[in-house]
Amino acid sequence: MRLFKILFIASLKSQTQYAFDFVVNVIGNFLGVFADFLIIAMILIRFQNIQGWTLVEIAVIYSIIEFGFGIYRVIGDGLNNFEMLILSGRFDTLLIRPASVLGQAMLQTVDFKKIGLVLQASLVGAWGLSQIEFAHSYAWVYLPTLYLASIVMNLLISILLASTAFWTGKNEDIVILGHYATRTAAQYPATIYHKFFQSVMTFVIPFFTITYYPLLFLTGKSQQSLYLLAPWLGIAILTPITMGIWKLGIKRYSSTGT
Amino acid sequence: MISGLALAKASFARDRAYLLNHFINNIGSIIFGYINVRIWLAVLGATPEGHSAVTYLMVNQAGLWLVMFIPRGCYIPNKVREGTIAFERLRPYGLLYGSFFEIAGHLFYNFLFRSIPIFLFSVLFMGVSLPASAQILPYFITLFNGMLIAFFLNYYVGLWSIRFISINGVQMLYYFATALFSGAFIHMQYYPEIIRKISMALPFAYSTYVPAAVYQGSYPLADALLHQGMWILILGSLAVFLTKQSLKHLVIQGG
Repeated sequence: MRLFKILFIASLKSQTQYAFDFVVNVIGNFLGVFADFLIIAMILIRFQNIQGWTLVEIAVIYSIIEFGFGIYRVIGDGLNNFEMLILSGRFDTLLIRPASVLGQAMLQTVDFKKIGLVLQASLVGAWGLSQIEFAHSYAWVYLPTLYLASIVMNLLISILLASTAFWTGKNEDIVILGHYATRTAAQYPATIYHKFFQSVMTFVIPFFTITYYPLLFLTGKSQQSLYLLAPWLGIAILTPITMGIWKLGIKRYSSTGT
Repeated sequence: MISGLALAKASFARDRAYLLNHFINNIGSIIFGYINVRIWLAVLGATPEGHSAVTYLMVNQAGLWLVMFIPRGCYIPNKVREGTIAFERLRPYGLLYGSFFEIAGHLFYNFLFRSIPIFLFSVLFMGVSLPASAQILPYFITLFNGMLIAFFLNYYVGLWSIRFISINGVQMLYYFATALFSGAFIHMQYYPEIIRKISMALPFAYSTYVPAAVYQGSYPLADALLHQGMWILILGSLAVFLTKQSLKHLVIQGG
């Protein structure tokens, strides 16, 4: 924890050293991703709903998935660029230190410039939540756990995909395919996709368990209350699989450095 | 011209080394296209309008590798950060000329190994319509013009790095403007009136929307050439001017 605190302060100091660059980065990250929501909004302003889901409901789904993704990009940048650690051989140095390898890989830097991603997700979420009508009053108590689950789920998926670099070396394209594309898909209701894709998004990269299924019940579109357990069931299953693959990858790792 | 072609050839060969990665990336690109297509089919249904939207989206998705996903800042930021831009300054051609041919080689590679596979997949499995024979040549001409416009816009991002080193923020701003105003993900006919007007007054739509609309025969070629030509002239002149200004501030990094 002390190590994290030191790293946190050092990252903040170094990144705010150049104030102009820092501000442009935060605004850029904010707007760059916010464009995705504006596109969704334009479609829904024109067509009112997507298979019964309104703009307000999709704003909440969007904010859940993007909030978790934003936090992951702030604290997990090391995982996002994990291939560089493997290709350069710098992963060796993580193995010989008396600290968690995963923690070190993840927290190499805290990227405060990505806070714009969290801000835009929070704003969209605040707007959506101020307009939405839930079918169950306890939704407001349950909802924060969904945002938390989104952070955990995004981190787990990033660890899972980062692990592929132990076998493939370069894995940037796998990350784009496995994380970025699926996260975009999770911003919309599952029923717009084919069954196979729905299954992938539920059981393989289970983003739908933190967005579509719980919201299906909370908005009254389904009476299946077990959907509220979906996020935690998804995380409970994904966690041992992810950690298992991560550990397997470390065993398989052979240095590429000099 | 010979040195330019040599640069393009080297750029093509460099990309060729990562062919397998790019095929995986193509799958990601097809999935992004699939997501967009499913959204539009959900709101428009399996109607002629829905079918037209699918064709528009996937033609754009294949074309994104030529007009949107150009290497960040046309490779200039890397050269600035590593200090190798010093060698570029010693070469017998200018930064704009060198960047253009480097990007030309990259785009030719993207055309062969990204755009064509994505387009073929879209035609075979997603019901994308082929263009009318009279639209094929106009499409390629307007696509080429669109690539020139996109090159200049990305080149400005590269020039930004000469002045400010870091380009992450401005790159995201570029993505914001392109995603929102280019019509890459929504056909202009579905834009709110005010955003449509703004979009058509900016260069982004002429790199993406216009070629796809020409493909579908819904934008007259003469208008397309006139508007694109105007933007190429403006952006090209600005690029020449900004290059001169930026190089005055060039600081060689490293040592």
